[in-house]
Amino acid sequence: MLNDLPKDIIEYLITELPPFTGVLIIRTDSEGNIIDHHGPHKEYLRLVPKVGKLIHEHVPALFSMVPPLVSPMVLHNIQSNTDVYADIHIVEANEDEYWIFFVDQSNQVAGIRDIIQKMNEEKFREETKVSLPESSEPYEVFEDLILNIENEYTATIHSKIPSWFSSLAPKYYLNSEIKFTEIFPYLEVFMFEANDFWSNKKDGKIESGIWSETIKKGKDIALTAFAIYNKGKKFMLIRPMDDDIDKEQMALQMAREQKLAYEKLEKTESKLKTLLDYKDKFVSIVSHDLRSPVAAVLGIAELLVNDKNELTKLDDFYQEMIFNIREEMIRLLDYNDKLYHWSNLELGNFKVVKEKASLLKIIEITHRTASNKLEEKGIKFSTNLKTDITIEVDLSLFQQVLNNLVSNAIKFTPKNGNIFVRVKEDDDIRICVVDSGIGIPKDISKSIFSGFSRKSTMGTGGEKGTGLGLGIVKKIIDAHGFTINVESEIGAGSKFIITIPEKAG
Amino acid sequence: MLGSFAVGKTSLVQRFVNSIFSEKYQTTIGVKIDQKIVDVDGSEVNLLLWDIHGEDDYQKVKPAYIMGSSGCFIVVDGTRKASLEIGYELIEMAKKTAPNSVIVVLINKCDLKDEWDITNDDIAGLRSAGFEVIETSAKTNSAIDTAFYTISKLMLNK
Repeated sequence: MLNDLPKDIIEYLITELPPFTGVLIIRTDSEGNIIDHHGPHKEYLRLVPKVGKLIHEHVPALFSMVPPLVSPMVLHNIQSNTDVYADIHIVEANEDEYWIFFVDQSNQVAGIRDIIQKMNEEKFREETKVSLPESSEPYEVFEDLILNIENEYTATIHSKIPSWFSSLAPKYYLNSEIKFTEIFPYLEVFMFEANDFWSNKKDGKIESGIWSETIKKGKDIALTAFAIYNKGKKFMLIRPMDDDIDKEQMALQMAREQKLAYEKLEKTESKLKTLLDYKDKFVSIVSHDLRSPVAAVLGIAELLVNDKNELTKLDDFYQEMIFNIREEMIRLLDYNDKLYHWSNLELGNFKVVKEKASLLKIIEITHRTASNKLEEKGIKFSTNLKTDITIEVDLSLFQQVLNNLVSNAIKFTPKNGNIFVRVKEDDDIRICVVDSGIGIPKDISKSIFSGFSRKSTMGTGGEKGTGLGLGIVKKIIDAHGFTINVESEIGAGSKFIITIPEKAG
Repeated sequence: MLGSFAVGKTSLVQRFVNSIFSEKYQTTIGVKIDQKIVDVDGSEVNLLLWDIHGEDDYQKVKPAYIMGSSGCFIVVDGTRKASLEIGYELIEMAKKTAPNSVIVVLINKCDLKDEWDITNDDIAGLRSAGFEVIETSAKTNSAIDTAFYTISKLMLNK
């Protein structure tokens, strides 16, 4: 039910209802039939609310109140169960649904009821001259302090002195005159509202906000005041809020601490993002600047390898060294290029410019690019694509995707294995790179597209890898709006599946 | 004392009135009123300090609390930019509700200056709008007396 709370209703809950639990929520249709309910119904209602039953069968005061004349409609201090009084809020969510909130007011009503009772007895005695048993005791309602208001600043104490008030202002007694705004400066503000309310001369009460007073060092007490008008008399009731304030404070404290933690998390995330950007920029600059010297060393090594006359003058050991330098420089250059590419993808320094392209041609180029490596390991490359398909991709980026996947497949396929590029077209286009390689362990396949892998990336022919190739593939595929998945079985090979959705391709 | 929640309003008052500080954040419900007499250039000023609950979605400051005030501290948490936005909203409310009240902006938590989101430009913006701005820390007792002395003096000169 709580998942169905419309936005307006959530806003109403937050702004209009006290922020602590204990509210009963009932949803009805426009005729008042109960749809569902949430909250402590046993506290508010004698019977369990039954779905389909009319709400006024549980709370007679709500007879013909749904739909309400205005929304929201608030009915104050309604007796909903024996000794339970509630403020009932009826709020319209849409034409067919109404949300009814029950907010417990039993404590407030109990306090006021005793005073009203006393005052009515007095009035009854005055008007009828019938003598009711005189109560000699002053009003004693919980720990409330009751003031009989004489004017804007002065009142007489009309109740027993509660202990908290003795600690705050020890010199006062029953019937003492008191300049109440001097003791409770907060009431200066509430008196604006109270005077307005009293000037209407209608029986009832209004409640102030909450304030605290220090009753002894380190001990504060939270208070609330009620301005009461009854049969021509003005009263101010001041009530400590021990239990209620604890609940309210706890709920607010939790909500705010959560908000603070969330703000902190957001800040940390943003800081981390900045740091990651710095890292990527750093890698991008370093790999860019490293390219020229590495390429120069590789050039010299190539020159030496290709100069057969000079090469044969060297003994076997030095010849091998030169070949090693060339191989390592090729690897370093490849790694450096991938790093550069990766960091730029991370930084978002690229733009996908889609164009119509021949898939057959892309596969052919991939085959050609990989031909040396395929030959070295005696791996057979094939595809089922006979009739060309046009796809809409960024040609150079997508070419790199297929090159990386096939290069990866060669690396992990033993000699004389197979690599098959299967293309399937129905609603979507699926391009699968299937190999008969060693397969991928489950723990690695989960993070295979994340880029930097800590696991070994040594190929079946001793090929060393960067671990970046598949990360780059994933970034390019994501940027196209395509998807890529991997299926693999140890010892039986792997299948990388690119899906080009119908609309994107 | 006006400001968003958890900016340190209660801590500033407690540091000033009772010379105490607690690291623990305890949200204020309602209003807490304290009193302190300060000496402003030889004159005794009796300050009645209204520490009003923080402003957020859960609790809204009632204009009636500000109506009779002589001065308002708008407290901002230097580490939380959002608290400056709330601060500006409360400044507007104070100007409208208590036009004769003086306004001093406190950028609190200057002991955490490394983590501040509030920039020098933000502070310059407040100053150019005509507000006295003081950087404070209830934790290290930095500029608290200055803040209360400044607002008292501005109130007396009004």
